[in-house]
Amino acid sequence: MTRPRSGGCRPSSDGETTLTTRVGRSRLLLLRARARAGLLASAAATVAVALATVCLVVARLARAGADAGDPPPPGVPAAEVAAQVERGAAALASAAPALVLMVAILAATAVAQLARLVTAAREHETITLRARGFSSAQAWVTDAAEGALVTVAGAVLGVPLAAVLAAPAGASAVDVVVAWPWALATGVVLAIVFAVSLRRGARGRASARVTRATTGAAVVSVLLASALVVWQLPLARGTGFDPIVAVAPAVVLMAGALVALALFGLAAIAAARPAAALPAVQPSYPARQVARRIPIYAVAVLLVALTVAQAVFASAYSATWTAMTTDSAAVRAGADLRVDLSPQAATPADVAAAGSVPGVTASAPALLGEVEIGDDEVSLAAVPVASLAVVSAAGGLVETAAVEAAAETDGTVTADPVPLGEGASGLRVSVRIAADHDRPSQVTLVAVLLDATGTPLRLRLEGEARPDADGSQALTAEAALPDGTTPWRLLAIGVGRVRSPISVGMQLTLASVEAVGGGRLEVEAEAALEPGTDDIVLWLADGGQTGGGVSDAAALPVAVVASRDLTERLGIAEGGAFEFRYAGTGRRGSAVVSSIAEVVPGAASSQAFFAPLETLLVSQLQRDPSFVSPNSVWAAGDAAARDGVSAVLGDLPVMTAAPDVVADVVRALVPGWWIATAGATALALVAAFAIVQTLAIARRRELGVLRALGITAAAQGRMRAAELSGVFGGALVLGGVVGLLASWLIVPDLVRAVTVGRGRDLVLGVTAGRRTACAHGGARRDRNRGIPRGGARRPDTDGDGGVAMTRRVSTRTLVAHHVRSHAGGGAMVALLVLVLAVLATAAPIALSALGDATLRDRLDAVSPTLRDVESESTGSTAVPFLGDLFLPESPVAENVWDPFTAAIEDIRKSADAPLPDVLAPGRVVTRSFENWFQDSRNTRAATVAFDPAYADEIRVVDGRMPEPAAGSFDDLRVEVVVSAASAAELAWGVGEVRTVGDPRHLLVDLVLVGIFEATDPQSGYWDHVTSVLEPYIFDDGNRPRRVTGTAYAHPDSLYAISVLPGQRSTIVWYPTDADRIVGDNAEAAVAALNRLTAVSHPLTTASQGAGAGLQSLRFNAAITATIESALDQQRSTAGIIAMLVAGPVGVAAAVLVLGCRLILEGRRSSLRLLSARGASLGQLRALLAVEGLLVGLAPAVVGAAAVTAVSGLAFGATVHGAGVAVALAAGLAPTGILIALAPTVSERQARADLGRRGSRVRLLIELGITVLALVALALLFLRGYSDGVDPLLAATPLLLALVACLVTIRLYPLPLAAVHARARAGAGLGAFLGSARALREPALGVTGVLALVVGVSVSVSSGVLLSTLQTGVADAASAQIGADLRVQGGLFTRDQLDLVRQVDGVEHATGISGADAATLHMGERQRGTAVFIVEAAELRAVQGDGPGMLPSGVSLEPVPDGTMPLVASAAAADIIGDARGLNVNGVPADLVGVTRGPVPVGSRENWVAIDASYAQEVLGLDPNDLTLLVRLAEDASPDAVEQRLRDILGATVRIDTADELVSAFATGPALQGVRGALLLATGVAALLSALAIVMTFTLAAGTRARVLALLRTLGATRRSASALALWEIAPPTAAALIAGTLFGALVPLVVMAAVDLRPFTGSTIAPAYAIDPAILMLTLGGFVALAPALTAVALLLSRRTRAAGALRTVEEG
Amino acid sequence: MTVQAATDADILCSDLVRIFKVAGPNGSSVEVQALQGLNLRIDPGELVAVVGASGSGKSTLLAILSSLDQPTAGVARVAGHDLLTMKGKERIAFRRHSVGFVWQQTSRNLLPYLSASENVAAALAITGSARGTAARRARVAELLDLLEVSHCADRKPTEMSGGEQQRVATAVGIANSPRVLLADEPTGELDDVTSAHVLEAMRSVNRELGVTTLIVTHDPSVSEHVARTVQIRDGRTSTEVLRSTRVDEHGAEQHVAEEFAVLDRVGRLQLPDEFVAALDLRERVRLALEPDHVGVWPGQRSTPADRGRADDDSALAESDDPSTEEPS
Repeated sequence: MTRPRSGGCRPSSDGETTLTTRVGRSRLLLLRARARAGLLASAAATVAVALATVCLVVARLARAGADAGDPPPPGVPAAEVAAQVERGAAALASAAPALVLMVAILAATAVAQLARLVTAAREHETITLRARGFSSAQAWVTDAAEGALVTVAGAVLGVPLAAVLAAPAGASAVDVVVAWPWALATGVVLAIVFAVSLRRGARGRASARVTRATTGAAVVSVLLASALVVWQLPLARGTGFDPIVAVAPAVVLMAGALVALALFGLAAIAAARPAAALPAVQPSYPARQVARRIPIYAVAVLLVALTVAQAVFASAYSATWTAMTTDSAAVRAGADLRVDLSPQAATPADVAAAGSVPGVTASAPALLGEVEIGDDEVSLAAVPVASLAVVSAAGGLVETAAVEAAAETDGTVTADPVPLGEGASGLRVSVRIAADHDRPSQVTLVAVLLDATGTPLRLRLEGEARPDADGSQALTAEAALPDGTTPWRLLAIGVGRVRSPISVGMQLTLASVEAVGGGRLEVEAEAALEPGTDDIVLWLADGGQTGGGVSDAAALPVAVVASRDLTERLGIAEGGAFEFRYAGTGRRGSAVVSSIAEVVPGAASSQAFFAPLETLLVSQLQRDPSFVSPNSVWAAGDAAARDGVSAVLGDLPVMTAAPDVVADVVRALVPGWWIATAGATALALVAAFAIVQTLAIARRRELGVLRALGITAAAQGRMRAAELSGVFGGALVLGGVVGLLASWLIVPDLVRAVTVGRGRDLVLGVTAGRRTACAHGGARRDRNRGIPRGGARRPDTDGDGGVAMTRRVSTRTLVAHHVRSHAGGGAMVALLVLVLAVLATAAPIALSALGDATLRDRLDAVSPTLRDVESESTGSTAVPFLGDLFLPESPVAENVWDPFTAAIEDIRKSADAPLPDVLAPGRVVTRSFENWFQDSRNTRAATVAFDPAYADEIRVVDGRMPEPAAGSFDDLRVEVVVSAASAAELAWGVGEVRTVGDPRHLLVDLVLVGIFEATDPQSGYWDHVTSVLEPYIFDDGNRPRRVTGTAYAHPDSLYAISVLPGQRSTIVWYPTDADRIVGDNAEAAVAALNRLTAVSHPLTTASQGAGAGLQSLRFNAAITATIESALDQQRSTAGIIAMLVAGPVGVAAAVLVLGCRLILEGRRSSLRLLSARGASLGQLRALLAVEGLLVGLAPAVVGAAAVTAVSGLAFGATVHGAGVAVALAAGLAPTGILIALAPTVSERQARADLGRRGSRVRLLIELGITVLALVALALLFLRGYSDGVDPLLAATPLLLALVACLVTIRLYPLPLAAVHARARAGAGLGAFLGSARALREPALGVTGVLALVVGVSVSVSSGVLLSTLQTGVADAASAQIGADLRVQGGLFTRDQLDLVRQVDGVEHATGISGADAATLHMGERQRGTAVFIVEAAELRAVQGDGPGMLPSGVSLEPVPDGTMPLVASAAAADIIGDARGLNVNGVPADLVGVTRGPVPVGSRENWVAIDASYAQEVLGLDPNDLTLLVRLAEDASPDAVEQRLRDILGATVRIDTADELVSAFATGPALQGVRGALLLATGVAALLSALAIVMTFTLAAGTRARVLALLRTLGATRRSASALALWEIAPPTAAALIAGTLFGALVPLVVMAAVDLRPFTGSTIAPAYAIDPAILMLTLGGFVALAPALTAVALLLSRRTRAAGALRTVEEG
Repeated sequence: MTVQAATDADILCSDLVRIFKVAGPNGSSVEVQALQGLNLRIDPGELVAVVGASGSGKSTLLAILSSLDQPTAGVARVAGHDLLTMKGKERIAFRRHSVGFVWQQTSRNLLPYLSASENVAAALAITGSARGTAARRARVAELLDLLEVSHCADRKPTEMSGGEQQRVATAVGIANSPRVLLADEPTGELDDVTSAHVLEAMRSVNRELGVTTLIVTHDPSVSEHVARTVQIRDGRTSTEVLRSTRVDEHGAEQHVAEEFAVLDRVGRLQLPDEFVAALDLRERVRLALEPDHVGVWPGQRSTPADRGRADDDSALAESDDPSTEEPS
């Protein structure tokens, strides 16, 4: 500073001294600031540190985002890298605010503390200034200026500091500068905090009570917020910004620090007491100092604890995050390095090459694939046991020991390959061949070898067959071993037949197996190569399990390690078995779970299992002479070897166990936390310094006193040191504990929330630990709770009950008398509780009835073939086991059918509940298909069916029932019966014989002995056994007409099937009684069905002996999909209802409180008197509790009992426990409320002269509600559809209603004040007095306005939701029809289409072809799709502008010289993306439009549509139409047109119109249920609003009566009374109507964001927001009519008591 | 609670102050001082009436004495309980055993739906005293007899006359044998004859049970029934009237009423309005100490010089100090 000091004197030129007049305001300000330069510098330093920390944190995170994916990992496409970076950045954005928030909180606390110091130092100065007339506004300006000064200085220091520190922190100076918005925001916040703290300090303290109330409210809100965070954090999803994640650490640490502070205070006081008892000064003085000065130390403790907690949290976060990402990456990859070769197989050479790369320690082949279990896709990972070392064991998630153990489980497939020896260089195999024909086929030999890593190799052996002496042939073949890892082992030897027209049976014997250079191997085998079979496995190293040959009978399961998700899905435990199909092949396998792992490394999904590769190969070879080769190479070693591995394996991308790019980005949070912690430490130090200074100032006087008492300076110093070290030590310990607790509570969930992808599925030890600990805690609590229950009973205060008296003097009778009198207010509460109890008890019943109805509706629509659980087996062995029963005399029924049906019955009975009840006993039909008649070959055929229970289904109308077949196999006569229609078509008369069979083999005579008809043609039986009542006729006009009829033979004729040539099939099905699947057991039914269909059920009959027959049955249950979709719909219904009901429930609670206040009002004078006479609060509470129980519990019990009785008697429904519990809770609520409110009646205890409180608490509460509502809203929109009923999200409408209500209450006085100002000037009394009262004495308090706002909003939102659903249904239906009429159910020719076009009333008609498969090519990618051929111009004409096949404004008509236009479905458009070079089957195409939502061509998701002119080019043909769309003329009659269309197209076609679809859907139970619920909610809301109005009116009656009495004495007319009442209710009602309507229109948006409405509209796209005035009129009008009507009724009913009671009681002021 | 032996007075108020804060327009608040340093001492067994005009603070005093309100400052003791420091439990015990109340509104004294005997029984039920039906019934009968309202035992308050109601209320008030009975305008809603009955009933209760009784009223005629009447003005006790019965020389009983001005501990004294008006006393007065009395003269006629001296003395009214010289 070079400027001269102002105010100083200096000589002027003329020698006189003049005052320099530069005492401008800013100058003074500077001077004032300079006087406290030290403190202000500290503040500036604090700001600087805070800003630097924020800048560094943000810069570090930004740098992480920018650096990620550079250089990109090899083999990953750039687009994928970019997407991963984006995902990572989103996760960062969620987590980063927590860091900035922590720093800001700490800095704000420190700055506030410094500001308080400054004001303390300026105490005298401030008083002087104020005394001189320094105004409050001036003080604000100077303080704000000082705040700005400090902040600017801090920024000037902090930003360069950050730039300097940027390099060590891993960012650049540029990044720091780019972070300016964060720094600016933090700076502004700190400046405001500083200025406000200066002001507050200077203004002096608010009253202790207000401060305490405010602090208490703030602490409670922080604790509540942290509870909310802990509750909601596990629900956070990894994608996108989530506010809960953003604030979680800050809120939880803050809450923890506050708790620590409370503990510190208690501990300090507790420590001071015993210390004070000690005689010495040393421990007692510091202890008491701390205990006395807790408010001063509080900030220090808070800061230190928070900083330490943050450091602990940071380290826990880093550790957990690192562990989790490493583990998740390792699990995802499966090994350190992994190269997927698919579709190529991994050869020993590949594995060896990978193993030879420097840095790789081991390599192995792996088989990764998808298998199907039931309808589920499951991942399979298999690695040889020999090379298990390569599987990453990250986090101990996979135990190799378990896999090794699995390979040796008893009763499972074992692999026992024979070693060739170390020096073997080749393999030589000799086989002796004995043929049953002169010229045996030429055969080749193949050996399956495993190298040392376990990589399988199919080695073709070369050699010539030479005739032997004994007529057989000897074949010796050999081959050299290829590259690979020695030593090799021999797994199998297979024989293949060289294809030739003649295939003869051969007997093969393994003569010798020799390893070239290794010696002879001990291998023996023999097998037969049947005619018609080309390949067999001659020898297999399975430990002799198959005895050399291969058959189904010996197919043992493979022992596998299954993931927990898989076992849970299948409902099996260790030892459980399941069957699977290899995806895309017909190959099957079976497995048994030997152990369960959390996850399976390398598997693509969480449902997966891990199998040892060797046993998997053996199991495959046991069933089939081929195997699925491993398709991936896994290697253990250094991640740096990735480039080398990639190079030796054809430059394929290498997946490493290193975390991916997303993790790279998110990783930055770890240093971010540390930077923030460092900054926090610095801030805490600054603050601690400031606090120590404050203490020094406060103690200055004390020092002298102590010195005078003889305590030396050194002793004082020691005492102060003890004091400070005690405080900071305590704070350190508490902070550490808080940090640990906070980490334990939220770190796992937090890390999971920012970890994108499959890592989220990992369960960490920390989490598991927490769950267990919680469980223990719960148990402990329960035990504790048990103690008082057994404790002493309260002594009975009523000593004189039970004696009958003439005068009531006993306490009990007095209480009873008290309760009986003045029961008016209670009656209303009782009524309300009754209504609530009835609703609460009935609602779950109604919901489950609705769920049942939904389920019923869905299940009823399912055809029997889909509904019943069915098993269909075809093939030569697909008949019940016949065993040796090839003799006609054998009792077939007893030996074949009975065991078979018994086995089927066993399967049914052993199924999980509720299936034994749901499934009826199984039915069996075995058929031999299409046995062509010898006399009319290829035109007439009979399917012969055998059904042990066929006699129940048919009735013979001509002839007789068949007898068992007779005759030997070469002369077999089988008696059969056919239906009349079949007989006619087959031209088969009763008694006539038709011969079927192969003339080269055996012939069978079928004798028709009768004609039957179905006993019940509608029976579901005929859906399973088709073409019986009507023959199957194939006639395409080109080839001869073929007729196949089904003939029933006697079941005992079953053995004849062995000579019938037709294809054999056996179907078994359990007729499903869908009525027994109800809402309650639906989930269990789905699980049980999944379980039933997951495994194949062995048939016990199979063990009965030799011969062919069904070994096992596999069932299909298509019904599960239907049940699951119904359950989805049920969940959506519950979601909507929960959201709608939340509002009325909240109002009900408010009205209940209001009712209880009414009761209290009625009792107030009595209770006051009793209180004045000495009744204690407990006595008053007991009195009120008796009354509460009477008006609450009694009606609740009555209501619940009534509902129970009615539902039980009338509907047979059982009452749900939850409903009764809610009813009882509602019943107990009045008691609770009355007890809680009791102190308000007894007397006025608050001293009115000690200041007002409450307004700040009210503000905090309002703020809390608003924030909660915003958080709920944000979560709802960010997280989307919730799976079930989430309480927070369900309460969102109520929270929003509360906010709307608060806003209404805050805002509506404004217009009212204007009205009042006008009324003041006017002459009328009514308006003036009314507006004044409405303004100053609002009769309808918060409760009333809330009730009205919620009531109106419920009715409006009900209307809007109904409109939306209705419009959605209509839109979906018209899109599904796509025109006026849609015709389906046949093949429509051009000619028919032309005829349709000529029908009267048809304006346009067009056809759409069926779906034809085609391939979409997008550059290099290609995906399958389905093509629909349309006539573009006609379709547009038919569809018009409405919804349908074509999106609006899009034309498919061919463009001259352009590419083919293409319309794609949403799913196909997603596949196409923005790819260039699109073509369909090679024809270049241009995506011109995307059709979303339902279309006329069915529910197929992936399709494209093109114009008919391209059909030939794309598909090579122009297919026939399967769908006709018709547009009607204006005046056409749809019925007439429909009739004509049926005449033209046949009677069987299905003709739909949009209206029919809409009405079919609208009458469905789901929509009906929602409609009912919405209307009921409106009704209940109206009732509650009416009650609320009545009650508030009654509560205000006293005041009104007095005002009226006064007015009457002043000569006012009666009309003024009604005007007054109107003025009481009209303004809040008007406000509530406006607010409720606005807000009610918003609620549906919330509901639509949270609940999936698609199940209600049957569309694939969510319905759009719509308002139908008619429906809105119905709901809102209903409310507006109902509420006043109910109010009037209630007022009339309560009028007399009100008039009598209210006017008499005159309260003293 | 144990009654402190240190205080020998049953009611002791010393410099009692009560300030109400009343919410004014636009959120500000206005303070109203209802009691401005009131002093009152009532010894055990005394029957005292406190009279005063509306707004003089007598209702506030009674609310404080009955622990319905708390004083802002000063000392207030009733039956040994310190009303300023009394907390929840002590307050309940105080109300149960130390004081009984009778209020002005008959409806506030009795539960309207209980008969007279039941009202008394309810009071007994609160404390749980007189255990057992018989004992309780006996106690109820005894109290109703004492107040001569046995005939109303089964009547509800609406079926009783105002006087009967107040007598029943008195019975309820003394049901638990309190040391102090407080009555707030017990005759406010009654005609003169009935009032006299009620007051006589109270007097007999005071006489027979020895209950210290304080009656607050605006009705000056009450003072005819009590031995000591304290007048309150502007939140302070101003005068007292003591009544005694003397037998004159003719052997006839004579009721003598003497009015005294109340002098507080620091020597403050309120002059009756008539005195002030009659002598046109304003702003300051001249005092003179005589051997057996103090003389008061208007101060306006003084000379400027005197005024200067009077100013110095105006704050002091130490008229009882014999050393004070007579002003010249």
